[in-house]
Amino acid sequence: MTTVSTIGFSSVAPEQADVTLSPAEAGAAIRALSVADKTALMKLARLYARKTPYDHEDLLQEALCRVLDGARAWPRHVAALPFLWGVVRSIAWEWKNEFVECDGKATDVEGEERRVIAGLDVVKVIALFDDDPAAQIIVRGMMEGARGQELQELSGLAKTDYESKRTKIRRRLEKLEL
Amino acid sequence: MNRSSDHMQNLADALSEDIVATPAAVLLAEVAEARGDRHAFAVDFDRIVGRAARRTRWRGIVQRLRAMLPSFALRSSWRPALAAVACLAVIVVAGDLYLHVRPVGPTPMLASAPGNASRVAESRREEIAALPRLSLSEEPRADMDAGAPVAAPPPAPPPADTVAAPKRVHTMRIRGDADAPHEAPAARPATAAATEPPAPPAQAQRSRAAVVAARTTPAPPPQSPGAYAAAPVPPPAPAVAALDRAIGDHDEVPSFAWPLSGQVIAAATSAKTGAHSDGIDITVPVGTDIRAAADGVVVYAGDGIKGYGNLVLLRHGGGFVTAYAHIDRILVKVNDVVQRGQVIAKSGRAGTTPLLHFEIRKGSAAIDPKQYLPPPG
Repeated sequence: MTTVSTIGFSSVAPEQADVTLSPAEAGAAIRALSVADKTALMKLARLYARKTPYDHEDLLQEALCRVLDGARAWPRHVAALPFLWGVVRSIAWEWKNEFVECDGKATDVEGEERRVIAGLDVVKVIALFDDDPAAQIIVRGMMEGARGQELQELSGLAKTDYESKRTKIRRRLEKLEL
Repeated sequence: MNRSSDHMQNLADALSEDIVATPAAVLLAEVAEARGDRHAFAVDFDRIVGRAARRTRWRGIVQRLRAMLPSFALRSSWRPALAAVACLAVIVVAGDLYLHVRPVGPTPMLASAPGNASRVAESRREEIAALPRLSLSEEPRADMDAGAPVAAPPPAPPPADTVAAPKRVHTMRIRGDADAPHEAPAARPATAAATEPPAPPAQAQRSRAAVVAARTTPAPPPQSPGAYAAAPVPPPAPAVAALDRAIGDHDEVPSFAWPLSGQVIAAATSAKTGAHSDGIDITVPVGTDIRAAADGVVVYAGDGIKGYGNLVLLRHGGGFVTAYAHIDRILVKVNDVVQRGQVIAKSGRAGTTPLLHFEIRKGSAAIDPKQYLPPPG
């Protein structure tokens, strides 16, 4: 069976080709990203860099470094944007956990303080939508991990209204400095 | 994305899904609204990619070096390599120091070379000549004592690259002299230094012609490039013997004649201003015969000295040197023995003025030529 790679670098059967991209191929794929993909990655990095010890540029740079030096294998069948999104997310998670472990090593007072601040962030986000109960419900659902149809049903909105509401929520939260 | 117990993480995941699902035009419009440029985030992304690529490259280099170090340590092959590099560095530094700090005079190593023997011999002769009762050369004296007629041997056959050879010699010496001006008196005859008045400030800074006059020697005979190695010191070159015979008694002041007839337009010492120059300028039509001012030997003929144009230097007895500058055509070669009044060149021009610049030097010091020239007639 011959398949075409989603990122267009291979047209040979997967059993004949390497399973992952080489670092050089990964570099070429990153440079070939569209302006929209680059913009999306920057926005993702901004979101995930919150509550890590570093800023979004550090997070993105670290993700790219790991891809370029081959530390993070890039499966050939995975498109660039989802793959890099996953790398950014996992590094942010890693850093956040390191941060929490540092908290554990720190005094109990400091650890407790951080946990309180994290709780305050949730409260702050929910309070941001006090003027819009429908949006607040959706945000709460997002925080609980609800997605798609489930979330739409939870909000009680029609599909168009629901999508419009989600766009407003996203824009407002992107501007929020936590 | 898996559900997490972290509310903020879940929220970020949900927002990320929205971002990825948002149409490109909407995303870019949002960026344009926030930053004023649709491509602002893309530009930032490219900058970060460049940084990441550089960092990855450095990481790779460091990793490769770390991987190489153990193998080097095991083989110990770096020791001879390091020793070879150190030796090379020492040789380069020593050579550089030698070229910059070496004395102007010939070193023993150079003196052993047959091509440089004549230069060494002449240097020794100048030192001997500085002593009052010592003759310049042993050979002619012995001939004279024996009453044998002195037959001047023909001058040394000029090498094929006669023009190139003197240039190479004087260039090297000018640099050495300029670098170590305190060594110049050592090359000057002691008698000359004792009899000459102290040089005025303007004269203290010697011109390049003075340097050449004081130091230029007959060009070495042609030789193969490898002839410098372990060659025995040969007897003085025929050119040096010819020089000795041509200039006669070393202490005797030659009888100078005017090199040509013309109007002196610039004297060594200006009557009006008292300004000093190294010689006189005589205006003559271009192509006028220039005659040797006294018996001597051509020690330089060429255009390698800036500001003098075509230049001929004659060495005479008594440590005198005459210079003929800005000439149009040179009719003699280095090592040629010339007689007083012999045509050695055709006059040229300095800039737009047709003239001959004429100098008389004793050792390295310029002397007013009119002191030694007969009244113009």
